[in-house]
Amino acid sequence: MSALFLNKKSAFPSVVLTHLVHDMRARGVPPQYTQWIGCKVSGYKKMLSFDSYELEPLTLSKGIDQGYPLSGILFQFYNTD
Amino acid sequence: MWTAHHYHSGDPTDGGKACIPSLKTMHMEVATSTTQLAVTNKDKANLLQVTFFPELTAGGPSQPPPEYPTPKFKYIMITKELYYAISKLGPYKVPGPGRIQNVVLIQCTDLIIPHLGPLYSTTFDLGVYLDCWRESLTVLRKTAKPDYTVLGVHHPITLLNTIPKVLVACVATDLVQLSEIHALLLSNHFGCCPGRTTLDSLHFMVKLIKDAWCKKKL
Repeated sequence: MSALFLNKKSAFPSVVLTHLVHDMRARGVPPQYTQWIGCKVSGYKKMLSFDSYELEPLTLSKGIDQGYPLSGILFQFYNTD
Repeated sequence: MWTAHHYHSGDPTDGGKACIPSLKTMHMEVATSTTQLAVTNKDKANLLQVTFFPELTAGGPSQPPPEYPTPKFKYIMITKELYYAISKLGPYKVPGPGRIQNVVLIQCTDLIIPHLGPLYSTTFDLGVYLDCWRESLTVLRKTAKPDYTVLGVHHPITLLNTIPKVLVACVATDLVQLSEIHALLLSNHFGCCPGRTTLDSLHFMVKLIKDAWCKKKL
């Protein structure tokens, strides 16, 4: 028996959307979900705030959003193959 | 009066608000390493932004098969899931950029779900996602470490807008349940899902070993 434990750095930001959609479709997820996820994930905006200082919204074109409840299960699909 | 106004118009609480000191970064070169200090808010913000939201190079395009397999389930938005997602919200958590408190949804659940349900379903039917739903605010939390000038001790926390948060929670619950029911993920692949934590993987290993002992295979 063998087990492999990985701690991957920058796991969510490194996800490629086209690969994610492909992996989900290949595993039997309906196109309504993958189309919606494609719309949601592309071009999400993050604002960084600390000490009453707020940055201009940063639009990110790569990766999936850290902190969303959906990101965990999406990464599982991405990481399974 | 000014102080009262400051408290009234400020955030619900500032007890957990992080105060970020000057941040140190190490630049490793061939023979030496130099330390750079970010003092101004702009420098600190740039440094934190690069750390939390790195620009990574994308891999090559995937090669899709000629045809994908038939979907193993159908998309159905169930109202019961909306009730569950709203009931799981913490009422007075700090809101996202939209500034709508969770307690509003909790107190008006019966009134708002007949409107939210069709709105959420439409995003699936049309394949659209609103621009204002994509926005989120990232704040920083200090971990219990002795030196806060080190970049790695600050953990990002994402504050989401309330309306899309419920939708995303529903879809996440849906996908997790359906992937378990239809065995879409590998059974011995752990991580990121309820019931598939690192601790669960250790329990799984212990069970395998004990089963092997019982059958005298070890």
